[in-house]
Amino acid sequence: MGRVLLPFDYYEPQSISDAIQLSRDSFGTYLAGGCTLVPALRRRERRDSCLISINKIEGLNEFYAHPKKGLTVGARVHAATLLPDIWAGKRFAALHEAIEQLYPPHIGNMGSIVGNLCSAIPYYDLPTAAMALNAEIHTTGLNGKRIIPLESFYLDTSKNALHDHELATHAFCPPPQPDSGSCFKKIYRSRRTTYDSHKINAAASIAFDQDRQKIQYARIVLGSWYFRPHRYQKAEDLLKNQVPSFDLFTEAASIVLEDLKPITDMEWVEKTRFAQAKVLLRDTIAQAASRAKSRQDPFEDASQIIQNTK
Amino acid sequence: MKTIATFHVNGQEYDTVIEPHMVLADILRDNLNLTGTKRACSGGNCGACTVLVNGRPTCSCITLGMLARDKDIETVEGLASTKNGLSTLQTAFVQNNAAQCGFCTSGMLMTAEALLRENPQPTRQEVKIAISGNICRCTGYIKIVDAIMEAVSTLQTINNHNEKA
Repeated sequence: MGRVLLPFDYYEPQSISDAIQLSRDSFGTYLAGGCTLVPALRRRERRDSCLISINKIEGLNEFYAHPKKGLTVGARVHAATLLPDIWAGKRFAALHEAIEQLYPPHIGNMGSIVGNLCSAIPYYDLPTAAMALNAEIHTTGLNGKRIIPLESFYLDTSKNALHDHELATHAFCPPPQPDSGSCFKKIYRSRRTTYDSHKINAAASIAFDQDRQKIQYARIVLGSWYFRPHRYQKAEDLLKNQVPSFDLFTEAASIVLEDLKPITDMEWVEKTRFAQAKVLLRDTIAQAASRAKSRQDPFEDASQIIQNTK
Repeated sequence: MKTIATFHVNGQEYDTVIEPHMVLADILRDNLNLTGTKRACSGGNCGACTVLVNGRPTCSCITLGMLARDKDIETVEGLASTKNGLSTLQTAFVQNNAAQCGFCTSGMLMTAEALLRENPQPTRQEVKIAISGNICRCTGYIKIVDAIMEAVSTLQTINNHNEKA
């Protein structure tokens, strides 16, 4: 890796409109934490002649997590900001766990969540977790504001659906259903040789019906397999209106595997990856279901009792 | 486009001329002559360049200098003081022979320092998780964890003593 970055122009606009204007005039790239951009510049994978830092823009450091209002994360918010938040941990557990497991842990103090989502790097963890939570990216560009669901945000490796000069201002996860839980897990193996398997990550979000007997809603996402995380609706449909059981989760994981295509021609690598993915998916769904089933919210319970007595 | 930037490092203010493409590790080493911070992988993977920015461990090799201006930066040089000599953590590293080649030591110390400020009584497992982003190519992890645990108990003894006094 090259030691020195090539020179570039650098701007620090104070408002979103200034940033967009600067981007249009100078064809600059937006910079938040720089954890993906700076190493890419060093490796000469990118040759940006102008960087526009968004770190002085007011309003992009907004962070708000609430079980009834959802999770809002501004483009400047560092990943580690979420960790001490009790609601982020309880109701948006998948994203919280993905941040907890970021490697190296220092990245959480430097990189922004929105930057991580916008990087469109296939093996990143936050996109998988955020997709399970039905996240969307809010943007502002030359033609006004847009909301892009994360599912349609990734076009290819390092390519997202943002238009030229468009700035992702914040990410939003809608409030989870009342009796729901989510989970993120990954199997991490550093790649030492060409034939070594990469990591695999998975996230799931499960909601139960009012009696907490049957699964009402499921969202299953597997990442680090193709260029973007994928949702598996066949497996989700299988889980709906079913009583949760270990066998059901195993069957759902098997259905996901049927849709997966090998990504190398090395047979043993694929065998290992498929075996890992099956266990990972099964455990992720089981953990999310367990959280949904055992969820207790004294405030919600109290409000329900008051409503019933009325 | 050269600019004069102010850096707050180890409680002192430094004015220095930087360019936008300079990273914090280069500024600390080349401009401010604080060579305790090491450059190793230059990609944010090994943790040898760890410094504390606003009290949080940060890889200075991928942090642009422009982003670190006007923030509180602490490097390994700031751990020891002229009055008390080496810090408790540094002394524990020396006593446990927790450095082999020593290249990762400054990063390890800064990460451990941040951990002990946030959690003064970490378990061995918590220490391992905290330093998981710092790679020791000599693989001397056991002694490093031992040293941090010894520092924990020493600091606890000092605190108990101070409370009694």
